[in-house]
Amino acid sequence: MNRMLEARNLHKSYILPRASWWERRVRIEAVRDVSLHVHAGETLGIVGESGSGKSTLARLLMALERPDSGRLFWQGEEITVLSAAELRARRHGIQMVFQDPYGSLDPRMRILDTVAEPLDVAEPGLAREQRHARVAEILERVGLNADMLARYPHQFSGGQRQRIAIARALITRPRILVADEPASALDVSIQAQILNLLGDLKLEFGLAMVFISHDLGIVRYLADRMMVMRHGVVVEEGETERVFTAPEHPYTRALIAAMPKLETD
Amino acid sequence: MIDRALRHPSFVLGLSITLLVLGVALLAMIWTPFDPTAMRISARLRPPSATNWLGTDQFGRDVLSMLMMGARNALLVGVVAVGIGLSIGVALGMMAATREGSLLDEAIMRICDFTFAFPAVLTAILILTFLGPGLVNAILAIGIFNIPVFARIARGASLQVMARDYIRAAQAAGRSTFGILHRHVLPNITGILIVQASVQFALAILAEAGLSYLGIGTQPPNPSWGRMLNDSQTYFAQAAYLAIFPGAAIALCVLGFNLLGDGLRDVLDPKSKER
Repeated sequence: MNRMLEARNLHKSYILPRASWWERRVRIEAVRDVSLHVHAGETLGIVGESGSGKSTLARLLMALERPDSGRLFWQGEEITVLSAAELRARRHGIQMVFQDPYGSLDPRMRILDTVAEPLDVAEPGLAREQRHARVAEILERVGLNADMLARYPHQFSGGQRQRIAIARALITRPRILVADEPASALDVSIQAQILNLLGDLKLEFGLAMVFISHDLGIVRYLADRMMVMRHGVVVEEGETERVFTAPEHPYTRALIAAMPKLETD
Repeated sequence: MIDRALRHPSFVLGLSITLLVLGVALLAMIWTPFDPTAMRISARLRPPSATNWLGTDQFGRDVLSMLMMGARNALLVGVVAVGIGLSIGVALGMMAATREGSLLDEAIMRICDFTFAFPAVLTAILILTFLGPGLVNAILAIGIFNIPVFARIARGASLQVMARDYIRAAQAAGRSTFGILHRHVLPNITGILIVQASVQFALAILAEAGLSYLGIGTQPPNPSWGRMLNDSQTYFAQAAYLAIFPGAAIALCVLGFNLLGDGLRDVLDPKSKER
C-alpha cells in the first residue's frame, strides 16, 4: 500500500519566552522522536491529554512549522528538503481542519473567499464563474446552502462554521486531511453531525486522515489505527480495536479506564 | 455598523466637526471672502463687522480668510504627516511582526523606543533648526514622529491577528507571507489603525500650530493658526478677538478629531459588536 503521509523521527522543541535576560532559558520538548505513516483511505487517530504534543505534531505534519530534526513525506515526496515556494506549490494535496471554528475563519472575509482561498493559490487562473461554482458545489457537499456565499463568519453557528472550514479544506480535493480536534469546541448534538460528515467525506474522497482528539470514544469510532501520546512521546500504537481491547502501556490502560461508561444492567 | 455609528454621540459630533473643518479647508482652495494675504493698512485692527466677519489684523488682513486658509494648511499637515507615519510605520510594524523575536524585529522596535524617548515637539524643533523653518520641513518632522507610533501599534495588532488559526489555514492553503499580510492581517488591523490615525491627526495639527507659533512652521505670508496666535499677542489688549478665533479653531479641530477617534474606537471594537 502506498503511504500518503509519513513522518520519520520528528523532533520539535520550543524555548519559552523569558521574563528577563537574567533568567535561564527553558526548553520544552513538545514532540520527541515521533514516526508515523498513513495509507490512502486510512484514518490514524492520535489521542493524548492536553499538552501531550498532539497539536504541535499536527502543525509539523502540515509543514506549518519546521521540525528541529526528522523527515516528512507527502505522497512519497520528501517535504523537509523543499524550498518555501516548492512547498507552497504542494500544499493543495494536504489540508487541515482546526479545533476552534471561531478562530479559523477570517472575520473580515466573505465565505466565498474563505472557502476559495486554497483554490485561488492552486489554480490562480480560474474564471470567476467557475470559482463560484466550485465553492457552491463543495458547500452543498458539506451541507450548506450555496446562497450563503456573500455572508461573513459571524453570521453562522459553530457547527456551520466548522462545515465551512471543512469545505475550505476539501475544495482542492486533497489526498490527506489533518483534523485537529474538529468537534471538541462544538455542542454535543452538533459533534456527531460533524464527525459523521468527516467519516462520509473520508470515504468519498478516499482521504488519508489524521484525526487528533482527546476523546477516546470518537477515536474508536473513526480511526483504523491509533497512537497514544504523552509528553511528546508516542507510548503506544496499533490497530484501534487491539489498543482498546488489549492495551499494552499502563498510560493507555489508565486512559481507557477513565473513559465514561454507560451502565448496562 | 453604520446605524450604530450614527447613534454614537461622540462619533457624530466628531464627524460633524471634522467635516466642517474639511469643508472650510476645501472651500478655501477656491474661495475666501478676501485675499488672505492682502494688506490694507487703512483697515487695520477692525473688530468683527458685516464686512470683515471676524475682524482684521494689524495689517488689515481679513481674519476669516486667514482662518480658512489656515484650516487648509492644518489639514495638509495632518494628512501628509499622518500619511508618512501610517505608510512607513505600518510596513515596518508588520515586517517586525512576521519576524517576531528576530534581530530585525529587535532593531525596529529599539529604534522606535529610542524615538519615543525624546519629546516629539522638542525634537521637531531640533530637526527644523537643521532643515530650516518651513511648512514642508514641519510636515516631515511631524511625520517622522508618527512612524514609531504606527510601527508599534501595527506590530502588536499584527501579532494578535497572526496567532489566529485563520492565518494557519491561509498558510496551509499555500499563501505566501506577503499574501497573508495583505489579505488577512491588514484588513483585520485596519480598524485599530484608523482610530489611531484620527488621534495622530489631532496631535499633528496641534504640533503644527505649536511650531508655527514658535515661528519655525508655516512661514508668512502663508496663514497658519499657530502664527496668528503668536501675532495676536502684541495686540491682545486692543483686539482680543485676534487670539480667540485662531485659538478656538485649533481647539475645535483637535476636539473634533479626538471625538472622532473615540467614537470610531467604540464603533469598530468587535467586543462591543451587537450580535
